[in-house]
Amino acid sequence: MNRRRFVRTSSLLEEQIKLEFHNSEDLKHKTIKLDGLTLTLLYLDDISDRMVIQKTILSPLLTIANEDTVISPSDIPDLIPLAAVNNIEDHSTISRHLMEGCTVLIARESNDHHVYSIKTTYSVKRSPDEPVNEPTISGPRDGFIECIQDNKALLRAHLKSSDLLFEQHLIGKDVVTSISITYLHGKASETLINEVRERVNQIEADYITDAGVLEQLLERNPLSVFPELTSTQHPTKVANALLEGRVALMTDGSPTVLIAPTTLNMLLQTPDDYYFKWIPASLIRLLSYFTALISVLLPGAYISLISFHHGLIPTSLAVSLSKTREGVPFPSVIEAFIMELTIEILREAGVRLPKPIGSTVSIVGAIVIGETAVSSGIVSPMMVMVISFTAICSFAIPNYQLSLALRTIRFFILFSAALLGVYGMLIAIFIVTTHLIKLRSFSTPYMEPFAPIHIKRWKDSFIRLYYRVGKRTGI
Amino acid sequence: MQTNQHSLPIIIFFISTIIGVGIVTLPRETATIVGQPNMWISVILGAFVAFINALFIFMLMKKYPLKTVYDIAPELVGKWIGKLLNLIFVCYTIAISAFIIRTMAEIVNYYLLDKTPKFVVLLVLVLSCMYLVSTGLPNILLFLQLYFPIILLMFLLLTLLSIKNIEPTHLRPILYLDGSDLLKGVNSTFFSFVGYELLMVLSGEHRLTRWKPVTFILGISIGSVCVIYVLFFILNIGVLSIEELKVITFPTIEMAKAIEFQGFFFERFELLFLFGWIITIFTTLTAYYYSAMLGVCKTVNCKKTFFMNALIGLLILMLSLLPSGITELFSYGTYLNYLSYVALIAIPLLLFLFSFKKGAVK
Repeated sequence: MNRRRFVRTSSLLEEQIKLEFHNSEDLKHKTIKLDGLTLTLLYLDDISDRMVIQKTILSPLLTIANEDTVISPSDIPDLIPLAAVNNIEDHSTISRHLMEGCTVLIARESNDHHVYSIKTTYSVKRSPDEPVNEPTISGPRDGFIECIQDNKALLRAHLKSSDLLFEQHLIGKDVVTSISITYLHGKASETLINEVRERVNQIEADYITDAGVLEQLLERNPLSVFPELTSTQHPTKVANALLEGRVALMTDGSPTVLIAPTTLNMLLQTPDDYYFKWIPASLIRLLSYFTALISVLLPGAYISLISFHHGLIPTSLAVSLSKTREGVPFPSVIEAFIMELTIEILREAGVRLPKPIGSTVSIVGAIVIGETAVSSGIVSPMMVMVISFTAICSFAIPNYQLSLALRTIRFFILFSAALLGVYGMLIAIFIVTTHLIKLRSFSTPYMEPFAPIHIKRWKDSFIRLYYRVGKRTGI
Repeated sequence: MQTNQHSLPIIIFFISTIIGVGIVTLPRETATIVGQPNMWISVILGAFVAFINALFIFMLMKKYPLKTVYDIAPELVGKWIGKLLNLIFVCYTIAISAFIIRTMAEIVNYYLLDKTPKFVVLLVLVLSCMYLVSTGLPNILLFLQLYFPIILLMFLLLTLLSIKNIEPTHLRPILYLDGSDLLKGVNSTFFSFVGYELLMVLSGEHRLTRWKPVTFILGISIGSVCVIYVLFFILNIGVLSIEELKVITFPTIEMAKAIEFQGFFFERFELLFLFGWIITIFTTLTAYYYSAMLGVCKTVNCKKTFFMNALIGLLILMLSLLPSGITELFSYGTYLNYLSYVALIAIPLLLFLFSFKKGAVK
């Protein structure tokens, strides 16, 4: 941190600022002389609102100057009543203020001078729309946007509590990004906050483009496929997490907010679960656990039954299965792998393409490839059914990061099932669970509350019991 | 509340360790020895003996709080004899691991993978266990906690589904007590409770120092295992009858096979049982594997746990491939019982006697 001393003469200061911006054209410079007082305005043209500068800074100052009163530089904050005025003591922060769209006002008398920054930000923002990848049925429909100030405001609006704290950290060597550690004072444990703070301060990066980058910089298990932090664009989800004593990390310029610590249980929940009556909500929770299991295990289970344990399939089903498998040239593993690969490619294609063409992909994928693959005898209809059901199940997983992780695990299970049948699957499950047990997200066990067992917390895990609504206990 | 939170993982550790091969093979072994429908009384007696033995082991461990048996043996009987005792204990844990996974491999080969070589079946199991053990004791305890509800659910489901198949005539005469036969049965049922001796290894990590919580933990663990065993004994006898039990190699699996649940898509419940049972085998293996690794590391003062881990894995694997067939495997079982006597009774007794001597010297 090289904090240069505040320079004596302010004309030199202006030159220095200009030099720092390499005499860029959009750095505007305006000097007004009132009796005995020189006011210098500096602002970046496109991100500061000229109308605001005119209204809030120039017109009050000029009106007062006309009234023949003597203005001293230290009075200026009182003379500009409408805008937020900050006194700048440190030269190195001036450029940051300018880049945030503030106007820097240098007031100079013969022997006294002050530097102020006045908020005159003009920015193009989108409205806080519903997040595209996390639709909700009946909850609040606002979502975070790219501006950190607005995100803070959104969160405040959802969580009207004086305990809500934002802690600003500036990260990045080349381009400084502001990151805000957000928590509820008294709810989040001090050790957790310290750990988050420590990890944020340890980051050495040139530039953080998005929360996704921040997430990977904060992680401690880069080899794991499971997310160590939850990312969401829903203010309500963040508010819920904060009430549970978690910590949220906001990144300027990213609509995604990260939540730490994350557990597997948390990734399988949606805010919607709390908006419905507890019995259907519990069933939905069970369903999302079930779909997560199915999306990992089903192809492996099918493969192992088909290629190793014919005897374990019910007789009537075995007969119809063997009929559909007639004439398929590949072993069932290859068949499953081809289908899985096709589905994954279709899914990626659907994501990349613009929406109107995206539906074409699904038609081509579903009807043309699926139908013809079966009728030409490359894959059996049962396999198509199994793989597409698995795909549908993985779409039902509430969290996209988790669904990505489970997609990866599915292939591991698939190949172990192909090698050693049900037994191989079981061993693969042991290995995956060992990994999950080993995993810690900010010192919290990933499989909590199942390992370590907290039976009291089970009532808000795979089910959601009646009296849990409107109540939050700590993590 | 505090003690409850603290002792639950250890209770789960003991239950997961104790339940293992016994649940599948014990009904046959006991049936050949006792041969009457009330042989489940032998199980209760066996549990009682195990409990007494466990308390005796704790009597020794209480004198040296926060130390494992591997630490106290060199202290009490001298460095080299102590190390020898440690190695005997390690041999015992390795032998028992090899025995249980070989039994599991036989069952896997018989019911699931008839063409896969046993070597592969055992190798993947040992490798995955090696991974789990390498993560350390806290994570092992977490792992056991994760699977514990699944194991219980599986046993419960199997019990509920089997109740329908019980022939009451098989269970008669009820409470006919033939003392001498039942006592002979204790000799075999006792070994199905083996697992509590890992108290000697666990005592280093957790504050198992006071009588009250330890008695509670041991009572609950051995007691609940006893309940599960008695339940399965009654189910086995009720479904299969004593005569059949004597000739079936793995009666509990056959019992699960007998479950018929018409109209339901999934007809084969032995798969369900095998799933749960392989989990229990894995947990038992993990516990013994960990004890063996800790023992070797403490005896030779080795910090490179990864190397020791691989060595133990290799030893278990080699030993488990030693018997050529299932009959030979079961004959090794009797040798294993002698080794168990040494590890469970002789070593603690020896150390206990020496602890008095040492105390007198001081």
